[in-house]
Amino acid sequence: MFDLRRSNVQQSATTGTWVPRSPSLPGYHDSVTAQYVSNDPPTSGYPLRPGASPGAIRAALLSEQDRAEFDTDYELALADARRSLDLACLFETLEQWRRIAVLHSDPQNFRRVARRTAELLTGQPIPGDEPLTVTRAKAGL
Amino acid sequence: MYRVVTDELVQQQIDALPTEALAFVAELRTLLEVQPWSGKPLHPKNPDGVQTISFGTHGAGLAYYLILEDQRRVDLLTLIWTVS
Repeated sequence: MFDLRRSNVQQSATTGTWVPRSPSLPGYHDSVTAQYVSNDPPTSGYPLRPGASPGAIRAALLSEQDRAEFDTDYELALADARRSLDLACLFETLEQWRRIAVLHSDPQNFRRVARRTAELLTGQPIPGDEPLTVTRAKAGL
Repeated sequence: MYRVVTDELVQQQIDALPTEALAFVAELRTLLEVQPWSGKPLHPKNPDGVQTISFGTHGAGLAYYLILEDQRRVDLLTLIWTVS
């Protein structure tokens, strides 16, 4: 599928995926483009695995505003890829949004994460009936 | 060193992870204790906000956490395993 073999990554001997050349610890894959270079892309199961399709990512986003922001970022990344003939920015954008989509994919858990984050950042309890949009703004989510 | 905090619900998520993920979770905790800024911000426009890092074989796991730098504290917000 994708084969972006960038110089700042190396192939894991155990998993076959591409990982940063200087990871902090083995098993951590935070070169975001690495998520889209797997030689063994997912074909079934959970749709938001590493390498998830743009459609699966978009479908998991919670609100129309989230989907609109994704559409904008995706279009910009596609345009950049066409202009530069380099897919790195596109892959990075998709991986960034995949991580957001994974968090959104369980709305109850997302609401809990937003509340917890907002409480930690504000130092104040969040009312149980506070609209999610308000809590998200407090949490920066 | 940072203090890594997990609440009861996150602990339940850890307990529910497949056995193969548990060693990676232990490594993740160690990483967060020493280098929590090695993850990626969930929203690039909010670099000090919620952070993410992938873990496990093929990056199947995603951890989301918040760093409270002034307290040298890391709150693990949720762990999600993306392989069913």
